[in-house]
Amino acid sequence: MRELAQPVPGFLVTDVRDIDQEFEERLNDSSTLAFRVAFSVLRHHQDAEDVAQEAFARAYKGFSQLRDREAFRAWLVRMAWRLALDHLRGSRRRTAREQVPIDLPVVSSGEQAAIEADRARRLWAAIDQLPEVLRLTLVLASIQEHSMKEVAALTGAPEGTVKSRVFDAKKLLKEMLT
Amino acid sequence: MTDHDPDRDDVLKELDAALQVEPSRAFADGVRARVNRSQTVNRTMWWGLAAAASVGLATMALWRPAVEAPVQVVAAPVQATLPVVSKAAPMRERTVGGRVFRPGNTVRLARTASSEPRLEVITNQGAVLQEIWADYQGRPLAIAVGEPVVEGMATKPIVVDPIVVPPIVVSEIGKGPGPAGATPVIRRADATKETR
Repeated sequence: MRELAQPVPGFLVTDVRDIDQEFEERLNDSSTLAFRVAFSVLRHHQDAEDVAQEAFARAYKGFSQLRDREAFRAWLVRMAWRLALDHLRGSRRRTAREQVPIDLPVVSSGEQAAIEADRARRLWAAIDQLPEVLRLTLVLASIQEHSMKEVAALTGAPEGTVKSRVFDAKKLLKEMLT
Repeated sequence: MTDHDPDRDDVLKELDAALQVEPSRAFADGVRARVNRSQTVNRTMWWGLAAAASVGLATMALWRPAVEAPVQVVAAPVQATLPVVSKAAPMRERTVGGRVFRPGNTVRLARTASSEPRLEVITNQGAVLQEIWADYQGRPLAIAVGEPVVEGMATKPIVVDPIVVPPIVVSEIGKGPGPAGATPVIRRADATKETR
């Protein structure tokens, strides 16, 4: 039984223990990615966690078709992004959204912190005005230092298209921030 | 963006810095709780569906005979045998026990309120057989109100008149009148009295 439960190409022979073990690996591997994708939309720590957890719970239901790591991460990113957008549209807590990132790497004096907070607020405001496709591509390209190839794998778009989208997004952001 | 580090400009760095957030330590536990809750809900839902299906099947099984038996054999109340009268008597309807009998209409399919056919068996087989016999002979059977030959289920008792047998008198040989030594004569008692 244990031998049969090993992944065999072309066969859907599964074992609950194997699925749970693989899912745990994906959970440890991709939780930060899903959370940051949700946070880039919601900018609310608790809401982002709820959305990312819901994306994982839905991924578990169809995990037999998502056992490939790259397919799982791509599906998880899209699900977290869509759930976050849905949550944002329906949430009454949007007015309480966190306008300033929680973990700013630069810790400086009060005046400098205010300047950086204002800069971050303007940056997020500009990102929110980007078209959805450009926004997702830019977020994925910025977090965890994803390469264009990885972003292409996550979004399902060709690598050239990803490069073009990142370029267009940065250009629009610079125009809005200057 | 390891393969495009030269192109990684301030915007991406700034965005990356803004997204340097980590989920809480309870994140994984929350995911597991959601998965378990989902499985419990699914299990409950499937059990509920199975129970509902079982109830439905049981209901169908109990209902099925009544639904699939449109023809019912219903024994009609015992009817009096219709009397047979002379052939000259006119054929008329007769009401027996609240039921109207017409010649040639003894067994019929009755329609219930739900317009389902219902076989009704009438127990006056005698009348039915008479009708069948009349049809077989090519002439209709006259069934009408008249002098009943047979009334009701019980027929008239057979009355047998007593048969009167006169006693036989045997007289001794030679003592009676007649030629002596002749063979004995057996006469009836009344005849003997007459002769005496």
